[in-house]
Amino acid sequence: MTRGAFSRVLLVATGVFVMVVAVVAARQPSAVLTTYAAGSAAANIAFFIAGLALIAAGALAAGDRASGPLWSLCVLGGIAWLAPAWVGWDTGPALPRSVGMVLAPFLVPVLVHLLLAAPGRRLSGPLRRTAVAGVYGITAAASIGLALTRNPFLDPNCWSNCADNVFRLVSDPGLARLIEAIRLSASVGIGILAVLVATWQLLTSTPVARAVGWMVTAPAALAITAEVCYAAVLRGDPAESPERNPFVWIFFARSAALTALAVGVTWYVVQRRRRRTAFLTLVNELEMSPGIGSLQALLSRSLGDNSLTVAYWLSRAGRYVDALGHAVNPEVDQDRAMTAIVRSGTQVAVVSHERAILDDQTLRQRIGPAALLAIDNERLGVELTAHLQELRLSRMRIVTAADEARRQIERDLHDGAQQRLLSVLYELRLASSESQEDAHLSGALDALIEGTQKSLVELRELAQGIFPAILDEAGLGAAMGTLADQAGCAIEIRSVPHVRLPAPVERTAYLVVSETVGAAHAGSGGLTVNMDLCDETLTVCVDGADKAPSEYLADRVGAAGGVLSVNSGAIRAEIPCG
Amino acid sequence: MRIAVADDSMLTREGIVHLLSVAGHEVVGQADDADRLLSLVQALRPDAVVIDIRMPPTYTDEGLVAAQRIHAAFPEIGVLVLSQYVEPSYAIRLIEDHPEGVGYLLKERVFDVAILIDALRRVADRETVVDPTIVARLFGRRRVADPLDTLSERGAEVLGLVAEGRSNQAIAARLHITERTVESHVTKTFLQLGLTDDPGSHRRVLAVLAYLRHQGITSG
Repeated sequence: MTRGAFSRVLLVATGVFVMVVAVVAARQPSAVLTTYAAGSAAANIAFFIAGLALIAAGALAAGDRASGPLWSLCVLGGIAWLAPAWVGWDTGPALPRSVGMVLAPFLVPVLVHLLLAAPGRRLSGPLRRTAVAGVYGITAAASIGLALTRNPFLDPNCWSNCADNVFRLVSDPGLARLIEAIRLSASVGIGILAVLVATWQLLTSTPVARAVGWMVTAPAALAITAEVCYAAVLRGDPAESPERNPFVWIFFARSAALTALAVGVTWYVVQRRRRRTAFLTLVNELEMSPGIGSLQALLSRSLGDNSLTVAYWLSRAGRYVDALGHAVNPEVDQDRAMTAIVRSGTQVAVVSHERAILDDQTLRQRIGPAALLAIDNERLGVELTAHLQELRLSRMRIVTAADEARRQIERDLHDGAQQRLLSVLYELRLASSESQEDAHLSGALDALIEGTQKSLVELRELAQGIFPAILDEAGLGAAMGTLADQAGCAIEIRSVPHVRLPAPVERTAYLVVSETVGAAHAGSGGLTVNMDLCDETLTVCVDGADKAPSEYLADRVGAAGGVLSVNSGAIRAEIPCG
Repeated sequence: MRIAVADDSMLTREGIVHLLSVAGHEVVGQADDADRLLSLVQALRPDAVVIDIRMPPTYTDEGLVAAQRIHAAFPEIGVLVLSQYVEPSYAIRLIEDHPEGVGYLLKERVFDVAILIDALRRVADRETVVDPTIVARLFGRRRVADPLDTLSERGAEVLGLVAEGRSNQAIAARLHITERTVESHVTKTFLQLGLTDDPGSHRRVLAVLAYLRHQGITSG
């Protein structure tokens, strides 16, 4: 046990001891009324409840190290509150009664100390320490002064203990009365100052600090007010009596205020502990934050509903998607219910589940803060994924549209300009065959025929460069053959898939090879092409490239959802076919 | 010869019909798509058919498919496919099943009436016709350690003519050498390239084309 823990246990044990002695003392039959507690059953209950509550609150707060001196002040307050029971122990020994007389006045400084040290305090450290020390000092001086000089036996107003006081050195009733009057006046002044400070504290602290601290500050201020009233009344009317108003009322007010203070401290400590636990749980859950997509699994497992789905609402796209970004359509019918999950007034997700499993209210309660965090997490991920998916698709569409446009130009050239040139060629040949006699004309026509044929060849190459029709019509194998036939360098085609692939995949794969071939020098050592289809991914490898692929090629492969990489002359493209 | 012509382009079709008529051949039917051609061929049984490779409805390889169907149903009819594409793979696809009596010619060549009549006569005579431009392209293909470099000039020339579908006799006439010399060139060249010669069969055209095309391709 550490020293701190030991002193805590010791002080709390002392409080319990004081309590037990007080109960024992109060149970002793007495001829005269020596305590308020003995005045009535209600007064008895009020007295012990206030004492017990303070000591219990102190014991509870002692278990929470972070709550500062609150615990000790509660226990000390309880001891000071219970001290009059010792004083009024009519048949008891003189020592405890005298000790009780010394302890009882310390209730006021303890309460002031508690108020100044309460959560949400505003006084700075040195100022607070000086004030607290001053209040304790004044009280101690008065209490010791009284103990040294007062002889209750000679006190005309004595009621709780009229036997002698064991600490007395001199018997000076006049000085004792003066000291008591000074103590009471000081208590009134200190009490009023303390209540003002408490009001100032409550008014000027931040809302959060106020929310945390008011449950201690407010009852402490009330208890001090009650003590101020008590001291003020006693100052004016020294003939105290537990049977007479306003003393009885003031006693009840004091007990009630102290009980409230004990409840306030207890509440504060419990709230604090709950916040701490909640925070630790959150931290734990954050540490175990589930990965994308696991929320649905977690929820369906914890609720025992295999059909449970979590769908996220993408406000921009105006549709629901699952955690992986696939579009879903959450269904509602008489068996299935949909629970909307709302964040900051906006619906962010829906949980679709069996109606019989639980009602919506319960689900919302069971989806704890951490789960909401996971929902936010997943939803943001989903939004990003959906956005990327949209970008990828639009990129693909742009590329496809461009390909289609080129394909159309190739067709138009083939069906238009090329056909027209063919018919020109036909006419020229007819004319040439009919003008055999005219050598000059025939020669000119032959030159025209040759020129037209060259134009046809050039046009055909242009059309083929714009779009390789053979690729769409006969696939990668044939297109690779044609590319190899025409290339300026040797190309060895080692493997090509036998199956037809989606047009965008074939076009991209073709482009990887044709661009590399186009960039290769005429005299280069030759290229080797490997195209392998594995797991729905076409891998195109071109070995022997002179130059790094263009950015355009990387973009094209990227648009098809693939990756292009270069490694010392080997260009490798992985293109998904799914 | 009795000839049927199928081409969706009226200009080309009329041109071919005109050239054939002037040359004294009978054009028994014309069609602008493959289906019409097939029913026409079934009814009229011409000696030879001229088909454009690109016809409705998809304008891709309808002509090629029609040619193969005609060839399968009526092997005695010669089929000449016209194309604007210098695509060896089309030519190979056309002749790979039945090389006898089929031909692949570039469109721009058919208006040279001599070439057209020659090609039609050859397919009707169950020979194979491959456009010289396609053969030239295959020959021109760049290769690493090109085996064609080891051939003699005359050997390469003979190999090219074999690839065009010429018979030894025709090659001899073209090169002004004896048929026996042609035979010896062919045998030597084939041996050098590791091909099997079968002078009586038109399969040797395919063998040469496939060799030129696929040399270096290990699979696919």
